[in-house]
Amino acid sequence: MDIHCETRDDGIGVVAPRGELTAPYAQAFRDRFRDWFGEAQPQKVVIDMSGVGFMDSTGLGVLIFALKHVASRDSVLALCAVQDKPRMVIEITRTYRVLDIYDDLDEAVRVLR
Amino acid sequence: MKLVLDTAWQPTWAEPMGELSLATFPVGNRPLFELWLELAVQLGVDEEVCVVLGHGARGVEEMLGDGARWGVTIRYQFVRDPGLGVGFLRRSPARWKDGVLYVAGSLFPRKGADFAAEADAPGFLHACADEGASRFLLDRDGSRLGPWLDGEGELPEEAWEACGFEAEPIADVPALYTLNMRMLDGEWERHVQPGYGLREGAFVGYDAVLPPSAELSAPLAIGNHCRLGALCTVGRAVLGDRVIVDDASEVRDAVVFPNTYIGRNLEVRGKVVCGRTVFDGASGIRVDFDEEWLFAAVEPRLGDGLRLALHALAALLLLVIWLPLFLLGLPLLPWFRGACRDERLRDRRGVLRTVPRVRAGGPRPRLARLGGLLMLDRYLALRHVLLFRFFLVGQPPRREDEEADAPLAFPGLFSADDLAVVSARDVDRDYYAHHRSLGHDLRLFFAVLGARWVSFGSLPEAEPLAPVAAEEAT
Repeated sequence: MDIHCETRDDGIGVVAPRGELTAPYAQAFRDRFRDWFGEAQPQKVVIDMSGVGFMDSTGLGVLIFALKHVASRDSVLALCAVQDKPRMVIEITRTYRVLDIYDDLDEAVRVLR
Repeated sequence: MKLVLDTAWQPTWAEPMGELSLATFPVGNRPLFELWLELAVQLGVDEEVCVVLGHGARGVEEMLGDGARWGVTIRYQFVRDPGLGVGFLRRSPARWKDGVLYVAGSLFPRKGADFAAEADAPGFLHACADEGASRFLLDRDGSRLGPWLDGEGELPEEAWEACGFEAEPIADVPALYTLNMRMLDGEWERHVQPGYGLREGAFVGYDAVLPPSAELSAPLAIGNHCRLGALCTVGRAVLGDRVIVDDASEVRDAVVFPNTYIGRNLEVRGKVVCGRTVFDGASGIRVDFDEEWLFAAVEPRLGDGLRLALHALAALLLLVIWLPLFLLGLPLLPWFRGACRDERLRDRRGVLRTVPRVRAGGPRPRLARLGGLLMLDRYLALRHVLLFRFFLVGQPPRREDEEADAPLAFPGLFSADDLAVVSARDVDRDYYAHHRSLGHDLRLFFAVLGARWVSFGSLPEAEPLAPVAAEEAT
């Protein structure tokens, strides 16, 4: 799984994983996210899910980890461009109640800015 | 006229359902091919019914049995080539010379609002889909079918407008979903025989456990042997047989296939669920869940066997201890007049039941205590013990042929007073064997029975029964 992290000029951090967000890649995502967040310290983070075609409950756990990690540092996290299959997992497990989800990156940035 | 139900072929869209045959897919509260069989009987099939088996053969056989329910005789034939289709008829054309009704593939027998079998029965009808794999063919006298089977000419597709019914193709999962929702929304009544309809918009099969804390809203169809957990919400949904919905989950605008487990605190909206496979009802997008605590196929497990063995042992123990006490106490029953009396109580389903109840706070407390020790207030349950059907907690499953108001000891606890000891929430939670641990069984066993013996027959004060579980009949 490829995880691209960057901080935009407006201070919003964007994390863009590519591939399947499942158990084998969960720890790598956690480590990468923790390291990047510790360095960049963005106040607002968007996880761009457009490249994630599938996600299981472990992947969902990773998103919850990211949410808690960001919230504990008084930052805000949102998801965008969630594909159909991950969206089903988020809906069924009722996780949408704790995550802010936007249709695409532009919308997420516009709302968070 | 003979009927051939060809269940051998499985369309591509139905392959994720595994071993389940398309013929057994739920439509409303009935399997798809039961509806075809009923329509065929209405159209005048009274001879041999031939069911062609292939994919999911076992499930089809279990569903249709010997055909006695429909007054026909079913013969089964197994084909190795599931794509044989109408080639099955061509193997022995002489069999069909007196007329045949042939149904294969993913077609639904859609009746019009004014369908009347006798008035609308046509002589010849033909429709096919899925490149001929799904086919409906009716030829009452075999006059048009015979030459075609011999390789002469083509069978025209006849218009359905005047027939009052049509074979509607089910092209994919969203089509199946839409069909089920249409059934719930009012189309159901014209497709089923009396007794299978949605009374007040709801159908609940036998031996279905629905706790008082579950919120059910019509229209819905719940199959046989279903179990709903506490605080569930079910509405505008079709639940097949043996579906388990765990605590606090919501199932709405959904179709759940038979033998499916839905985990705790989930939200299933607008979905089709089959075992661990979940489809979006609108788009047909499919997700397979590997986590059994979310979705799973209901299968017998080792724990179920252990629980059964434990219950049998408990029943044997009760029998050994209880029978002599009971025989000793039975002649003394008249002495207990005033200490024990029958009461009519209303159970959680609102049905009145006769419950013998020892009055701990009555005028003769010592006598009541002795009666409690001898468990004379539970003599009705002895029958279940003798039949090895003693359920430690929970109402014994209702038999299919049992009348709704048949007197049963209620609930399956040890007495009506014992019910007051265990909180309504515990009763609710512990009602479901599938997620109740053996340890919990044992704890309850000793809580309600052991406590009574240890305290030498002392019964708790006659508290009012839990209001959600029962109320005294006026």
